[in-house]
Amino acid sequence: MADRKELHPPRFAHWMLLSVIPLKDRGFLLDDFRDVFDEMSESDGSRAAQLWYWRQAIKTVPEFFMYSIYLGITMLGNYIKIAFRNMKRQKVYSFINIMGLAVGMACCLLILLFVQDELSYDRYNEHADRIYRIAGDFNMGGQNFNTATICAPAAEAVKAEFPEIVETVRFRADGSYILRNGDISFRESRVVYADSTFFKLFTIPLLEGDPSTALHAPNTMIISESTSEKYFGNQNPVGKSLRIDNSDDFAVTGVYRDIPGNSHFNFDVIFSMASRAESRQTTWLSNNFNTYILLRENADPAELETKFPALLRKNMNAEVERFFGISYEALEKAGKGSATYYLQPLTDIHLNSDLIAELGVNSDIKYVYIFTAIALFILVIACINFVNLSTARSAGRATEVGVRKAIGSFRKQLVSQFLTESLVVSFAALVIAVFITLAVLPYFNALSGKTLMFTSLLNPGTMLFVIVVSVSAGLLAGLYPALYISAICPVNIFSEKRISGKGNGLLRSGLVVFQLTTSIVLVISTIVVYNQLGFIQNKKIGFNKEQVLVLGNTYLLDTQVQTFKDIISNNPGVVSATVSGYLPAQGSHNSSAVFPDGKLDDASATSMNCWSVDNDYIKTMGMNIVLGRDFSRDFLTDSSNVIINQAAVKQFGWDKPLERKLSKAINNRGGMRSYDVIGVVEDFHFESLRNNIEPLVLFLEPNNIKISVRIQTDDIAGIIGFIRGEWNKLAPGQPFEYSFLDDRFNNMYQAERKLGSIFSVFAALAIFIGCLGLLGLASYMAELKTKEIGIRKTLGASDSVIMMMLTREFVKWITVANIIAWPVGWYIMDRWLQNYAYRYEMGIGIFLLSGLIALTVALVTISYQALKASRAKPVDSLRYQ
Amino acid sequence: MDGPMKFLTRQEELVLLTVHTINRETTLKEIRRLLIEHTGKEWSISSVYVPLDRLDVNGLLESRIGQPSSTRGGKAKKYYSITEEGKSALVELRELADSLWKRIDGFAING
Repeated sequence: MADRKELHPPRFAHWMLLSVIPLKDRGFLLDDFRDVFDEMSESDGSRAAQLWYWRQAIKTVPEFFMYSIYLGITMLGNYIKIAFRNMKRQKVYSFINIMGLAVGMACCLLILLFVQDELSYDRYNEHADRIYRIAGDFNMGGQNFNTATICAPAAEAVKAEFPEIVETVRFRADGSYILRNGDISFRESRVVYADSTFFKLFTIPLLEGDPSTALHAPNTMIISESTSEKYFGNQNPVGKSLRIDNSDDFAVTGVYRDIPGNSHFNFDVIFSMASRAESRQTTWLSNNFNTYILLRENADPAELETKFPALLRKNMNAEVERFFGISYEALEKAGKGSATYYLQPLTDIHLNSDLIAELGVNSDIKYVYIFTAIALFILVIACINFVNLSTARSAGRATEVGVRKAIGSFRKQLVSQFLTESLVVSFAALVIAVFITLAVLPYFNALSGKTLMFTSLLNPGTMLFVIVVSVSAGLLAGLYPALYISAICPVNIFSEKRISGKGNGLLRSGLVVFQLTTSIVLVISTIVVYNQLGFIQNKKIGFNKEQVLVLGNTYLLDTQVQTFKDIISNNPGVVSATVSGYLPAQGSHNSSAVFPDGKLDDASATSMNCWSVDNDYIKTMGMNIVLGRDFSRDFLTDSSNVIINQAAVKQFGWDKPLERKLSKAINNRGGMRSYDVIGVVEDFHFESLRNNIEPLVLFLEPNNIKISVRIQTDDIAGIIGFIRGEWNKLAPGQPFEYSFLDDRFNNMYQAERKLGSIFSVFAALAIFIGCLGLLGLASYMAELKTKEIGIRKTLGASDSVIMMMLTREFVKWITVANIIAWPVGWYIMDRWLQNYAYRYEMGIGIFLLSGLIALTVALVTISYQALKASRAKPVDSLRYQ
Repeated sequence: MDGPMKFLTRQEELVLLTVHTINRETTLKEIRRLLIEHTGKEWSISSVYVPLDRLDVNGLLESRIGQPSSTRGGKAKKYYSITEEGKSALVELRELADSLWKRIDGFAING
């Protein structure tokens, strides 16, 4: 007998075989291989046998490999066929399951689009990772300002001083301008001045004109594609000019592609910075320029930041000494004032920056988190339903399982079958979700104020992510019922003991309660948001915002402002009119340092809002004087008097305000003027109710930017027509612009309104998905209890008793859900309401209402099933014995 | 004619035919030996197994796992035998081939 060792087939070849051999006949095939090997060893010697084995292995590996794949695919195909057959058999249940999951997935897709967009802001710029904005953190007399703007000379200074800065660009936003090309005239608000280096930092293609010269010369401008179309139609505007604010002609030197939506700034018109004299200022104490820098590759922004303090000290010292009499260092040490520059990465601005003088309304990373959380919640609810329904319904298929087990189906096959089914449902749901998303996208865009496109999801990364998540959801959701079912003992099937799932009842109840709780919390949130909105609408705001027409651009009337105002006031439909650019609606901020009682030292300086108004302001706005008197033409000295609001009185700590004075600077050279307080006006909200009412001082000074008109008429169109007519007489060809004060006021709360809409949409969704889940569960329970119902009815129970019995468990779940949801909802909304200095108190009514809504909806959903079950004839249900 | 005709690959056909000639239940080992003998080609184990298994799955053969034998340390063996379906599939194939060959012979006769 030859050495045993030599009789073994070569190890590596054997290993190769092992790795591809089909599992089902593994043993037999290995035996056959071994047999032939042994025979050959005997007949032809061990070397030949080894050689043969090797040849076999090499030939066999690919064949077995392909065959295993083929087997796998046919088996999968089989499972899928059966899956579809099962779905057809249980149409209603399958539909509920797929729809529930599809809605959840559609939610996630939409939110994915939203989040993707929010995270992509400003990334269209080639150098996005190396662009930073220099922001300022200033401290003056105890007050802190964080600004997105810094001084004019800083850009040039940092570029000269720090070699790691390759290039800089400044923007100067300064309100809106009227542009005119012949008859075409509009007020453009998305306007900015920019340095000629604009194109070196930002990747905005210039469609017409030369980027290296376009913004060089003064009195030149470039416009966006859409703007060009608006003023010049199809013509190339380069070489032509537009009249700005009816005074200057600017030459158009370029047309640029519209700035993409996902950018933190968006300009339709860009003037050359050379046109702005202010840009050549050398003061470091005034901050009006948004300054961006481009860093060299591999430069460290943090390191650059450490160099800023020295720069500031050097450049600010001269001016600080002139105005404050001490050096910058001394000022800093005394804690009376300081200035810091810091860097903001470009890509951070949209989601994380909320400074004074931003170039646009930024978003907040909080919303990204909130929406992602909501999406996950809804998906989890949908998946929970899915698991619940699958488990419940698979109990109904117990018979099938029992039979299959009895004839020896392997547990693994069963699990595979169930897994395949849930994967099929998952994919079907995904496909439907895509259609739902496409259909809903326009409405979602309207809600979120974006222009999202479905195609942005079609990149390999995102698609892979979505598919992986769907597959995982399908697998996980299918795993539980699969394992649960395949572990059933077949004997039970043929006995009468159906699976009541008592042990798993707790899990299932828990899942239902979780779902109901989330829905109730969302309902509570929605109600609170809408209540707060109502509170805002109805709160006494200290002035009368109804029926007030606001006319804009009235400075265009020039010297004829008063004439215009008088003519209008004579109209019987007009109660009164006032000339002032300051409105009690967001945006009328103008803080200056005010000194009470003639004390002109630094310690007494208080920053307050200072508004320039006329004699008719308080009357027109419907404000209330609570102490003293209003401005009046009868008192010629009123130009040296002021009216302050109650908050100002509080700030100063005066108990007899009418005997007081205060002083304010009237020029940059330290000239002060003293004013007597002649009246106190009742506090009115001139910022959003999110903020406390700030101190305010009203000065009788001309400011003819706007005219506000209080009207009292049913014929609003007529009044507007009249006013427009008078306008055209006095300011022919100038754009007539009007709005209503209450509209402006409401605009402050756009964010809240959006939030309310979003919450109600999500609440509706959660309820919808929850109902689907309840429906499925209800039908399952009804089926489960068919026999019990039959027996009870035979023993004389009435239909209504049966109904109660069926709904009892649901009521129990809803009660528990309410108990959990109420404190959770209260806590969340209380946190949200903290944002508002003025808010309403949440009463018990909200929670009762939410609970009632949940109860009603749930009962309505299951009532059909319960009704049907309770009416069933005992004869039918007891038949299957 | 009932339903679409299932086509067999060459290997499947040969394997099926071989099983048929054996006329009792047989093992993969035996089938392979016969095939090597008759075709003169070296059939690898997998080139016999794959068609064999496909025929099994499609119902043209049936298989059973035998009792563990007393030899070979008590391992079980897998036995294959032809089914009625398998027999009729072979017959079908043969008749089809025959009728086509008749046409060719017809040409030969008629020139």
